[in-house]
Amino acid sequence: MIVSGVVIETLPGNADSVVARLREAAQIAVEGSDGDRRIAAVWEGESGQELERFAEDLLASDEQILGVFPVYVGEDDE
Amino acid sequence: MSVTRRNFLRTSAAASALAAIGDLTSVQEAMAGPTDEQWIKSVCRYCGTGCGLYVGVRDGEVFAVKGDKDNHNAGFLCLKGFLLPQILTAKDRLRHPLIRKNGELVRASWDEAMELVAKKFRAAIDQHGPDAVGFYGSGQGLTEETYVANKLFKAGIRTNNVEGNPRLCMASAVGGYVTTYGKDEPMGCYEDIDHADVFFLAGSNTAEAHPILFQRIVARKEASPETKVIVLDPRRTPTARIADLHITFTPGTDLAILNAMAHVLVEEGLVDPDFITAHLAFGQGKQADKSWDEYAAFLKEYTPQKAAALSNCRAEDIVQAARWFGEAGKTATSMWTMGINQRTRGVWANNLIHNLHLITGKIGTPGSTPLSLTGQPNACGGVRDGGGLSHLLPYGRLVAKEAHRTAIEKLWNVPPGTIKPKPGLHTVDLFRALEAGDVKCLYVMCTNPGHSLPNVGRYRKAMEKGFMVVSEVYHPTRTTELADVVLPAALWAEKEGVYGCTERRYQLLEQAIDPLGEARPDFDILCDLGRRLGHGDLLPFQSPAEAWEEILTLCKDTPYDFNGMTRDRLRREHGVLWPAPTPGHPGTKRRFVRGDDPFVPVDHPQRIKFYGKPNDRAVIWLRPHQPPAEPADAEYPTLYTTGRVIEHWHTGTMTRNCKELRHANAEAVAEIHPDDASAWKVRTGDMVRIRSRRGQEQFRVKVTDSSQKGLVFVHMHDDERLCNLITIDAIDPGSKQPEFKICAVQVEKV
Repeated sequence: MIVSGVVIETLPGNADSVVARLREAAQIAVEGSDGDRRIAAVWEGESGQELERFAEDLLASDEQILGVFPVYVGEDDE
Repeated sequence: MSVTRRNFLRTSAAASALAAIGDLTSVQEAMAGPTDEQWIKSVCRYCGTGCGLYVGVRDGEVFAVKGDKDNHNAGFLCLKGFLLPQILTAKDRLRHPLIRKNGELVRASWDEAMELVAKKFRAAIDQHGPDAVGFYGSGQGLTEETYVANKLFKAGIRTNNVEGNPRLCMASAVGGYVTTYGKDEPMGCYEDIDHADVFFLAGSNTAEAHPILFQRIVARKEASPETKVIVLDPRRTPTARIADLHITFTPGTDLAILNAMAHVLVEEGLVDPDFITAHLAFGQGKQADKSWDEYAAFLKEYTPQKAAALSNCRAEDIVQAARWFGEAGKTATSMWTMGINQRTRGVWANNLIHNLHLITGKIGTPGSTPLSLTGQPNACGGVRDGGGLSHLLPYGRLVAKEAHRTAIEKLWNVPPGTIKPKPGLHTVDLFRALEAGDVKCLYVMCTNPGHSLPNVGRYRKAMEKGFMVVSEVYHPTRTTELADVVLPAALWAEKEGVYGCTERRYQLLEQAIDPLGEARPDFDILCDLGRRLGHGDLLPFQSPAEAWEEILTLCKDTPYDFNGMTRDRLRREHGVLWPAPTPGHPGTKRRFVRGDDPFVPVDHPQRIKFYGKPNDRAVIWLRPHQPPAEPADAEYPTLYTTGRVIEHWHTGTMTRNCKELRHANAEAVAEIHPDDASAWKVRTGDMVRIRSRRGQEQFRVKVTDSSQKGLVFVHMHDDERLCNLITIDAIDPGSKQPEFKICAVQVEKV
């Protein structure tokens, strides 16, 4: 199990609308945003590869998202 | 309330993400208080990154910390930093002195304990000479503390048996800088991270050991997605997960890889001929008497194919790493830690990293620097710069050099010949001398050698044998349990002094609260001991600030000169990078660089002047691959290595006293590759016994492909499972640093 802190970068001024959509998504919990273009979130999944796929899917499916950047990765075997 | 590792990871992840978007308020909200609180500027107590922070005090107690937005860390702290308040009031805090009576440590008064220490030290010195005693300090002590210890022992007692745990972590980095450039300490700074196009991370799990610097690397990659990260590490660490290229290899073979990278740089013309002609010399052994042609011929042997075959990596990865590193117009920053330093050829490995920067000319410009990372908050400032090792005197001077001894004797106002000309015992030899009975008394300050020395079973017996005084914050530790006297030391916000971090940044920690119980600052304890031993005239200081005034006189006219760092300035500012010779000097981001380093004349004809070496030329050293001291063999077929996890630090005395951290990864585990696990018939959660030629210990198994096949990785912080019963005490012949990172073991299911 991987737990990752991620920063999601959006088009300027679009953070709130992206947050609203992310709240519907599984695996990711929004922790905060700057109200403009950056969102702090925690993602949980099975592997680093899954995180990469998640990030790619997010980028592909939401045109207001410019990037998904892991800033912390922890591993839990419990 | 029990905190699961999952919850801990969620909290860490959320804090990191919030910090990364600058929402520090949310991170700190829970800690902030409403009224009558003071915020006092300080520095984190943990790693060598030296993050600035503010200590929140209410009703005489520390209730929170918050990151210093005006410091290099821009307000960011890792979770260990945010939890610092807990280390002050931990249940393990020692509140009064202890002395051993009839085999038991019992409460004593300060006077009784200090008189006993003085009496034992006096007797040993009188009967066996000054070298019958020694001091073993720490990269966690404040600069002023290490300074008074160094002066007391070298000029008062007159022994050079002054050592410290930086010998175990960064001596090889020192050896690398000194042999290559003639002067210790990195020439670059953290700001280089923001300008780097390529990161070369070698033997460094930056993500877990230096999380704030890792975050800055991630931020750079985020701002400039074409940035490349190359990780050279046998393990697939969290750091490796952001790598564009991760080169794994058989531990102990990376010198061949580094030479092969240089081979590619030379063969493909990715070098800087003008820089080479203007600034470099070439050497082998100890003499800089070789030429570029001889260096190029030496490298011919290190084809990527040969290096890959030796190292069990892919030749094309070596080529790719070299091409990225050497690409014209791109900047490159290297960072490394214990995977490079804790080796019997650690100095050579350091030299080979410097070689990459020098032949490409990628040094001394924003984004291009070889930056060795430090594990402790004041290993650089207090011990390395302050001369707190057996062969050193303050600020770049050497015990063995008569002119240097004379200079220090004048500054200390002691008679000529006071400082002995022979270096004292380095760490491993110091504890061997304790074992042999040649050293009778040892004063240990702010470190835990009963846990942290290599082959520690052997030296634990030595510590039981000699008379050992331990000045420590916590009790019991694996060292205090062996001590004859334990002195309760004040901790972090309970005292004042200077820390100097990885990038030559000196910062003042101000006292925020009174020490707990009867604890005293080590500065006071050492001055007290000096007076009791009849050397009070050498230590006349009423405060660390007075000692700082004297320290400023010692660094004057040296390349370290930080006379611009008055106490008042350090109180006001958020750290200054030396050299900073005058009060108006802004500090030096990049040494050896014209227009930045005050010791390079402004009219110097070239942008760089390596003034530490003859003819201002840094040295490219021809360093061949050599195997580790104890490679795997038929009898001990598996390699063993140790290291940190993000939740814990060093021997865990502080982090295991924080409830959130204690519940996360508290137990050291053995990380084993699935193929090995299958061969050994073990699964995650099983117990294994790991045995080397020196000792054995049992660990719970974690099956993970983070470890490569044939390599077992064990966490180092657990005081109940001593990973160092197994490690080897073979040392680098130059730096005297032990090879913690590689030895051969047997593994069996219990």
